[in-house]
Amino acid sequence: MIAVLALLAGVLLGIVIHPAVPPELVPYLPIAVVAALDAVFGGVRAKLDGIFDDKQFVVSFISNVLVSALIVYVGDQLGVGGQLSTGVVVVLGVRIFGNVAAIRRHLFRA
Amino acid sequence: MSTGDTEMPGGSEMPGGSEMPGGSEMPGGSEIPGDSEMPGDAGRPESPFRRLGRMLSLGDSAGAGAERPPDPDGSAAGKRTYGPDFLTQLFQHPLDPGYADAAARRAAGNGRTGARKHTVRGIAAVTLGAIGFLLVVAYQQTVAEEPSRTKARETLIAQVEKRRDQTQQLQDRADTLADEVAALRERELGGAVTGLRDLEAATGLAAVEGSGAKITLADGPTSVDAVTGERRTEGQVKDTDLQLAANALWSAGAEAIAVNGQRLTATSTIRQAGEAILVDLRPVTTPYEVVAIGPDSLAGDFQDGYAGKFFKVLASRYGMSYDVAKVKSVTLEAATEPKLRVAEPSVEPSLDSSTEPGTEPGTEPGTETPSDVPSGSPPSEGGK
Repeated sequence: MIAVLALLAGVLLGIVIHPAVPPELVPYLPIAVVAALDAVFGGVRAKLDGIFDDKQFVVSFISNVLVSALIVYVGDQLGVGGQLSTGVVVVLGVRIFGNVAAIRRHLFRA
Repeated sequence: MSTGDTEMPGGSEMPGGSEMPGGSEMPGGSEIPGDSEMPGDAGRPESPFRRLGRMLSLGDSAGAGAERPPDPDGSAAGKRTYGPDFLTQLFQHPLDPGYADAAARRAAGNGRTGARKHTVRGIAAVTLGAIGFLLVVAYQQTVAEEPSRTKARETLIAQVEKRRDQTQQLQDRADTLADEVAALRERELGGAVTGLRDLEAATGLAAVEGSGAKITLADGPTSVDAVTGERRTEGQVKDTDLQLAANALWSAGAEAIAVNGQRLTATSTIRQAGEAILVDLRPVTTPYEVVAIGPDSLAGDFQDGYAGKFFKVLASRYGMSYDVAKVKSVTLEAATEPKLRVAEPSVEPSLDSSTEPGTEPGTEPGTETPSDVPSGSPPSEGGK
């Protein structure tokens, strides 16, 4: 319950503040979103598995975002930013898919 | 759903969490996604032979397991396991192993308690808030970028249209100025101007209208040789064909010729560059229309001449399309003005004709006055 409220509070905050993203951070935004989704779905799945851990959730979110941003940054410097972004999206996408499948099985028993 | 984690950690869905530190091996989990895709080995406990085989096949830190220092992945003391490779693990086990670790710690009684637990829970809530914020920001950013993209496009279109208008205006101005020049010339030169006009028409510097002939040539089909893969290009119109047509028309009495609207002058060139034909360095493409103004017999003479027969043979043998027609009234545009390379005054300028100061700069280099006219300016333009 608290989690959902916190999420909604963040959404409202974003709508109210409506921040302008600095142009140099724009390329990292999609990757950060994917990393955040991975953390969220991992957390939900762990919750349903009954092994949710707050610290693990926080650490996994921060490290996901930082590592993916670092990979994109390094890739941009090396001129392979697109490919490395694809790699990040594939890895995180596979994880999201697996976790959502587990959540689905929890919820629908199918 | 609540974040209050009061139920037993490492619950029924967690297969043997306490024996699996590091979570590198997760046998027998019915809830693990990707089970069905993995050929058989996920659901079975690992046998030592299997492990050995995997070790050999993967070459993963080869050597005897028991003597080596503990695996950094966090295997139990003395028990060495060899995890599947990264992708297999990713598909088999998408949940972060840290959750299992934490659950194991809590099961062992080392869980966080009291104020610390509340702090961590608060941080998690803040993180979730940050995630919601991030999602909204990303959404707004994506939505905001779309109009900027279309805006850039619209700006470009507006620029294009503006430049087109400018070109049109300049063209109109050039036309009015040309008319003005013609009127002035007529006034100043009087009777000599008709001769000048005839000369312009003959040299291609003025548009002409009249009747004549139109020769249409177009590329025939090009076939590819099945064996060598070579393209057979005999059916294509070459620069020599256009040259032949133009020369035949000249010799048949044509007064003006244009190829695809490009007026030919005495210095025009028709030549090939690769597969393209350039008329005065401007590319023309098939079908080629050679329009000529001349006597009424022009079309017939062309058809009966060498060129006409030659094209007829080409058409029948290689499929090139060829057609000669009489045209009643056709206008041929003027050719682009040739660059003035050399100019010298044909008559000595008389002194009384220069009514304005600086009208003929440079014609009397010895008596140059310190006027506003630069000394090196060409003698063609007079100051206004």
